[in-house]
Amino acid sequence: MPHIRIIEHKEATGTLADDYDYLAAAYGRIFQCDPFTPQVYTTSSVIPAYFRFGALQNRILTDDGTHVNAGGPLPRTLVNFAVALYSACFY
Amino acid sequence: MHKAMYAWVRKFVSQSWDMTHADIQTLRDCGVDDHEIVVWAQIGALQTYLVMMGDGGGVSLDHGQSVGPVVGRGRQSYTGTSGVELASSGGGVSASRGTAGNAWVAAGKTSPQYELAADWAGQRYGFVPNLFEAVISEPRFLRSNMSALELLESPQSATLSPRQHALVRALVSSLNQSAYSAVTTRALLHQFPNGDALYDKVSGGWDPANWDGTDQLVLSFAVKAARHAYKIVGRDAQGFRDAGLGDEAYVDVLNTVAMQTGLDRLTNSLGVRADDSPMLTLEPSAMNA
Repeated sequence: MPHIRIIEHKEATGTLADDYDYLAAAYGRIFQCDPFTPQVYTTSSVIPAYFRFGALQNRILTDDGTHVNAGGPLPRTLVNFAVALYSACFY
Repeated sequence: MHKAMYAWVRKFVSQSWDMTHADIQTLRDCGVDDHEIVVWAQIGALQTYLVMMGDGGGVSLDHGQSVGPVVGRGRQSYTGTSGVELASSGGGVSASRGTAGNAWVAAGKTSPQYELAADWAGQRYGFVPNLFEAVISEPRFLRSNMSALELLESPQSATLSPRQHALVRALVSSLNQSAYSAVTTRALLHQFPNGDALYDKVSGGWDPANWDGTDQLVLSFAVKAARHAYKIVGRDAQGFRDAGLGDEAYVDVLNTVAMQTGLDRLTNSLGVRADDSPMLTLEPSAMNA
């Protein structure tokens, strides 16, 4: 259970709803499933400005939801993995 | 190259303040060019933010989908998890760390995104931060940097005071031993009564006994989030509610810590030279001049 109150997608309005829509559609596309928003982004739902920042990180890390990760001598997702590993973040 | 990358990231996460030009050179010797090093540092900063939000929010794993590499699939514990303990960091910050130029990585070519960011910073702060020049070779991350800097200027919740927000930034950048951020965080606190003394107190080594009331609560949580976010538990958030600060202030502090830490690790790892001026928004009259 989250430590704090979460505003779910269905309750969201304004910019929060817009950002939820983007994230859910992007992840639904990449995993070919019903749209869903990974819970890591929902932590900041009570402050839409921070939620938008989280959505922006997703846009940048995934090339606007395309998950095209061209370039580099190593898959760049390994850097994401390594940061999570060394942060003991199991999410 | 894999081994070098993992070693670099481990240092980025656990003791970015000890990174030197030699760490950049090690990657170069393995065939990683400066542009890619900038990309890795930026990805590291963004992932730092997401990691802290995941742990600090206490959210569950997304069942059935992998939203990225998963360590220990099926484990959902956010507490008592061993990992790389952050090396203890004393108070104070190191001197400006860039050598030639504004960072350890080679400068790149300008771009429309860079020009946009430079204009934004010029209007907002009166100068272009060395950080922007350091990452010029991969301009797509500038949007994130601009957004983070703007959000870090002030609290985003009604119950976290601007003074406490500034204290959090100063404390966290001190824990991260960020010479780059110290210029700004000191100036931020200077705006408050006894600001310089507050800065010296908060950056001189963390001791909760030196604080009381909601200052102690907020700063203790900031330290926990900065040093071992995986140890955050539900009662940390309850503490904010019991003190009348609420979930919004909790999320505000968590985001501030996460963004500040990402920024500090980015600038530490690239050896970005501290700016001559703090990143404080200009007075409206100066902005429009």
